[in-house]
Amino acid sequence: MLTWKILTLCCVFLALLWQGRAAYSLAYLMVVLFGAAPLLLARSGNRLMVSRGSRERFLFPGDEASVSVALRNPTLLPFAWVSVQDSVPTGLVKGTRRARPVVALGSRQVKEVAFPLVARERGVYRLGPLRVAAGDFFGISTCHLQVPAEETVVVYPHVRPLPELGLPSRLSFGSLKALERINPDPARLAGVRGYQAGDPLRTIHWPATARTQELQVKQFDHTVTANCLLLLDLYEGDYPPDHFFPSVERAVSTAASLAAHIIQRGEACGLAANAVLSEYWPERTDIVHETGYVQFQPRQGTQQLSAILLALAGVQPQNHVDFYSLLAESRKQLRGASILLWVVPEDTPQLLDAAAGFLREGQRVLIFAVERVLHGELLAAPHGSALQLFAVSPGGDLPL
Amino acid sequence: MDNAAAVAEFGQKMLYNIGSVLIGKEKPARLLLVALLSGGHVLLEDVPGVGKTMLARAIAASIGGTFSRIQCTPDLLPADITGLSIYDQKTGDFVFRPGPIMSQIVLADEINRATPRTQSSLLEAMGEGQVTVDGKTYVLEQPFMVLATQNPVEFEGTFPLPEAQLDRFFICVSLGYPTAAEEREMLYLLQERHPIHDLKAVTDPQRVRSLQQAVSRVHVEESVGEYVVRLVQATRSHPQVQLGASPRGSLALFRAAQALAALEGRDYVLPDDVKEVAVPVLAHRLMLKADSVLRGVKGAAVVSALLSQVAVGAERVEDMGS
Amino acid sequence: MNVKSILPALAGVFTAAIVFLAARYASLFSTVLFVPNWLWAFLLGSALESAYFAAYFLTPRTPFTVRLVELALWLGPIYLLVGRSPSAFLWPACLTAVCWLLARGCGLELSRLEKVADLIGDQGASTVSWEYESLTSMGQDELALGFFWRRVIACAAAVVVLAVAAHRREVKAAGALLLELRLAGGTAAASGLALLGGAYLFRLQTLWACAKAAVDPALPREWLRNLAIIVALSLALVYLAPIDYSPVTADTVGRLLAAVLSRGVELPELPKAAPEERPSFSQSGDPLPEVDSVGLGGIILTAMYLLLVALVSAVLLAALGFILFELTKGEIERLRGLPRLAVQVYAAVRRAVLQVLAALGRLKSIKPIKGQAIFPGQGEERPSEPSADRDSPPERGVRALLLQIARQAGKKGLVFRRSQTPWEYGQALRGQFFPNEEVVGEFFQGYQRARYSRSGLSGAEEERVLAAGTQILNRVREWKGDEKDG
Repeated sequence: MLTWKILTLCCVFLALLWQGRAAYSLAYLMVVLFGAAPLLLARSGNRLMVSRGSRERFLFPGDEASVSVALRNPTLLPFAWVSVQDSVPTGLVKGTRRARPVVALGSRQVKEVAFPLVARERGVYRLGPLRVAAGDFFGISTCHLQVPAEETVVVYPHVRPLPELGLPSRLSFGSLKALERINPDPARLAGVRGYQAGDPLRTIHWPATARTQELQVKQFDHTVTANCLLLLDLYEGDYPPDHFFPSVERAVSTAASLAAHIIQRGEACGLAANAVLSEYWPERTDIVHETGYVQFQPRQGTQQLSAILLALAGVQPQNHVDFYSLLAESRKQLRGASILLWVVPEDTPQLLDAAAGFLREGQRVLIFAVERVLHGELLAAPHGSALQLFAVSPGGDLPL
Repeated sequence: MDNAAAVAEFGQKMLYNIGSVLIGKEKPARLLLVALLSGGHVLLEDVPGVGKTMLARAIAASIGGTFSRIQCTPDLLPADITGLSIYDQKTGDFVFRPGPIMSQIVLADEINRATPRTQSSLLEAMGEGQVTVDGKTYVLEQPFMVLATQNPVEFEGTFPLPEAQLDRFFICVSLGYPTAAEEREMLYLLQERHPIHDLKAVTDPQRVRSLQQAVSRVHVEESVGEYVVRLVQATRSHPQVQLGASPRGSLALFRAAQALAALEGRDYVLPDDVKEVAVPVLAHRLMLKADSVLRGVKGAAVVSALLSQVAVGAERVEDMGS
Repeated sequence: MNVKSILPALAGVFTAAIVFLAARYASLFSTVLFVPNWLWAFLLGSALESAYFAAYFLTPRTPFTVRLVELALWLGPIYLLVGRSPSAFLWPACLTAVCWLLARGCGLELSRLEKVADLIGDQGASTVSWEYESLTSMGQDELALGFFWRRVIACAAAVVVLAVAAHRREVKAAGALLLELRLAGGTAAASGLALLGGAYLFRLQTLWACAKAAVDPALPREWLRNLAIIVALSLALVYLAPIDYSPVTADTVGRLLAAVLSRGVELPELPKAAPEERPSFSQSGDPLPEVDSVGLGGIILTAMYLLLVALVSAVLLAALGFILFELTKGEIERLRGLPRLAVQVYAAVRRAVLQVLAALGRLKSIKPIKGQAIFPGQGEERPSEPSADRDSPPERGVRALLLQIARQAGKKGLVFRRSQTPWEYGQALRGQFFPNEEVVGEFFQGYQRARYSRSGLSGAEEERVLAAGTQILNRVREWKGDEKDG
């Protein structure tokens, strides 16, 4: 390029010296093409506006979507071509190559380009930054921009009907032996009792007070709820190295399917996992417990399911906290009796010992072994037993 | 001065008054006026500190009405809202002590922190315009408007309002963060003393009641009414919606369009009015399917999509082809 | 769109125009070099044939005899037409052969550009992004289309040299010849630039196809349209820009050098002032110092020369500074002395240019305040009596007029969608047909009252609204689609 700029300068000098329409014409053309055009292109390139359609997107495995990027040329100078390349992670690339749309962008024109995505596997992905290249009509100069427009794409784990996991379609948790007390429910008047120092005045039952001529206060029952807590083992050492990733994915998918099943039955479900969260979730402090585990208190409703699936989309196995540490930590968090659903690679004797400890405390434990069942006799335990074992079928694994 | 012009003048005065204490919130304030003139209640969904309370106080002060605030907590009892009859041992009679609901503008802060029972007692009062305590009915003084707030980010320790209860809110509004310029202006505005203390009433409750009557007389041409019905019915057959808007929703849309037209100084409603209020009136009334929620679909997006699909019916434009 | 199909034509036209210009200028120097008019057809024909043949059919395995026969097919008729005279045949044959060869080079290069896979291998072509980057990001000294640039600039420079030689020898072209030269010059410039732009598009299309980039189907059309605009603007600029304004010409420099060489460091010969133009004070008989014998004109001229020398020095320094700046990648701390001064001069010039550009940008950003949109609001005149056709079917009146407008606009691509309100449609109409015009607001405001209000429009109001609507209808009918892209 330098050669051509020097040549342009020479043409200008020669035109000034020699005079004549032809010499000036050539000099002017050279100045326009090699002097003004690159400057204008660089200036217009800096003003090119690139923006994304959204900041977050939620998909299920197998879903196809497209990400749109708007290009706006606020200047009068048209761009001969504008090429946009998005940093699409491999798990989202549709086809064998990353899309690279190329458009012409006229003066003051707005165009939208789309990047097709396919949700291949669970995860939290970050799209961006966008790399934009634009050029002139003669191949003299190009300008390159890197736009930090980012978008998060969440691919939820595969949620499958229980029969696909080899589990009973009407998985029953039996009758609840224990109820957790949350708050006194003003809708559940249990009775009245005499006023004691410290009772709030607003709980005074005035008709009873009038009748007895002594202050009487209302007593309320507590809100009760069924407590299902999913405990997901994502300790790397517990999974077989030869098919590590399929096993981990099956465990996550099993946990997601169980959570969906429980919440869709209208029951409350929580989650605890000895996992690390995707690096792209640093801002989601709401799904990481202060202890470092991923933990949600049991709750009902679609929002809870959404939160659990969101966390499961981003969990990754780790190698510093084993499942027994998670159990110990969770035991502290348990309020009253609960139904514990453990999703583990296999039912080791040590695991059954740990389960026995929970059973002594009045909890129910359901173990879902995703890789191998060592204690087949437990598979025949009647429904409603305090300890039950289920073998998760690998048949429904998603092809990776 | 005709009715519509009177409403428009009221709207301008109110917006000016509110704008003097709350910078850059003209659009939400306008929607609140729509709700006030329609006799509806408002759900403010936003993070703390964006001016929800101030907006409610400014409206109360501007109409010269009474204002009260209820901070909702899990141990809040229905009686804490409605009031209760206390036995007076001297006279041997029960004395009614009115609760905060007896004000004209009521701010129920963080309504989703109250237990469902307490929430429903508040919502019943909102729906019926009266409360019954110990068998005695107390009619709430009009104009009566509840502004309930809930934080859309926090879920811990909350009892989200059931979708069926959300239907009782006339509109759902989000204030949003101010822009940098607005925030700068706000800092200097509040530098010495909050202007809310100096806010003067621009009207009186009696006048608001008459304006509410005037709004109900705004003409709605037949095709506009049909458009309202088509929109609401389309929400019921949308593939991403489990439960569409109720007839209460269509009535709210109808009234909101009337109020907006009157605020614009018109005595007739345009389809544009319906479109403008459709999202705040309808979006929160839709119960989306579980998979739609998980995919991040919002009620507002569904209503916006319907607005670009449902025929307005102004003219038989389908005859022109496309 | 297949760009390759038009590129040989552009190459042929460019080559023929260049050879035509060169031949015409050459004929100004000597009558021996005169060429008959029928030769132009041969030049164009041979150039087109050669370019297309090379672009589509010529391969390295094409026998040399075929190429000779191909050239002979053009030279043979020329030999016959010049009366089988070898001396008269030589110059036309030479021009035709040059034209044929130049066009052949362009055709071959087009063929080469297409064969990315041959050059970089199939594997390279399948992962062509690095090649693509190297050709689209100009970090190197080579342009994406170095061959075409060298060819076009070299041809243009050759013609310019001939033209300058003619200009300096004061061989004047006039009348039809001047017109011919200007037309051929314009054709050469236009076809040359179009060839460069088109070849670049072709090159990128080839690479994009290898890289499987998702290219917008409208890109070639938009590219060529914008290219045509840019070429036209560039040519207009070149033709309209001032020429021959330089005070330092080859003549003055030559005279200066001659004077310096003959008289040492003395000033060159200055224009002699006429005796009556001498300063009046010299006529008073006062003794004048020696320097004053040069006179005031001499002083001014000397100052001008010094200024020119300073300017030329500054330009040279700036050019040197630019080169050094590029070479050192902006690390001017490494420079000392004159090189550093040169870079500083360049930086100052650059800063000044940027400031001027910024000032121009600020000027551009000051826009007139647009009028506010009309909204139906309070304070409107209430209709004295309802319109007679308020509830009539839309065969007549304002509603019928809207339907007519919508039908006409629909034919022009602006369809009134079912989900649009009349006001929204009015805004779309305003954007498409009536930028900054209030007539749309007036009509649609009136329409809304007629359609939706209980009272409707009064007679006078309806007339006004109908007039506005008729104006809109006529405007839409007359709209040809050239005012703004639909």
